[in-house]
Amino acid sequence: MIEVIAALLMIAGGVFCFSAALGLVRFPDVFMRMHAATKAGTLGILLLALGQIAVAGDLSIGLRAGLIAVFIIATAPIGAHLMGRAAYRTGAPLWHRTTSDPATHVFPRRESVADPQMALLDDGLEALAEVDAPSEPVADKATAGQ
Amino acid sequence: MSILGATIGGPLLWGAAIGGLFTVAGILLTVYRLVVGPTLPDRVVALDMLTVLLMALLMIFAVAVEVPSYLDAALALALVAFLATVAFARYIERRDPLPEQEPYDQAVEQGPEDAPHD
Repeated sequence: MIEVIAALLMIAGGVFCFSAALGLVRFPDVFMRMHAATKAGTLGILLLALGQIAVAGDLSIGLRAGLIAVFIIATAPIGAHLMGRAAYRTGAPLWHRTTSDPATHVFPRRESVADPQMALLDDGLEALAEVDAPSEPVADKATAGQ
Repeated sequence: MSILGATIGGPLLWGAAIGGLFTVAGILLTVYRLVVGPTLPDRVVALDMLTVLLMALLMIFAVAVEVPSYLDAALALALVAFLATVAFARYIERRDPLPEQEPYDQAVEQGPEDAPHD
């Protein structure tokens, strides 16, 4: 019985790791990819560690699996935070449909080095926004999205 | 007993085999992002994800072959992967400095309009 539970936990961990990788491939910009990789990957590792603890023969194996879980919980958010800050400050392009950028006036940010296709989409959206509302300030757009 | 020897029996080994297959598929997808990924932060995130997936594979393998020493390798990999990500983040942030270097605390305290631009 406990082996079946551990097997199901390991399958669930593998599925979550796979979904993290799928999000890493399918999401459109760096920050969404980071979101998928960090959260789903952490959950996958946690489920695998739980499966290890379920079938651990002695204390040292379960202790090691628990240590892995603790380290992942402690280090994954820090790494993701630092990478997200570095990516934002060095001008990693946001998705062209992103409506709110709350850190616009807080962080110094280099002009984004988007690919020309994304720049074309941005221009089209800006033209549409000007047609809709002639002089809409950026601050209103940032607060309206929250 | 062994996965590569293709004799799989018992629910634990079936679970290890299926979870390992999902993890290997995830590693392939992550390698795609690592090769294609348009910016440098994309590649670093993919590298981080690759280490996490390798940890998952090591933990599954430790169950499959009943060798708990693989857990030690996964534990070491967790710490080293974190250090690598932090080092890459600092390198990306300092690779070429921003045009106006404005500390984060000053920008928050003084507000966006009257922040000094020097």
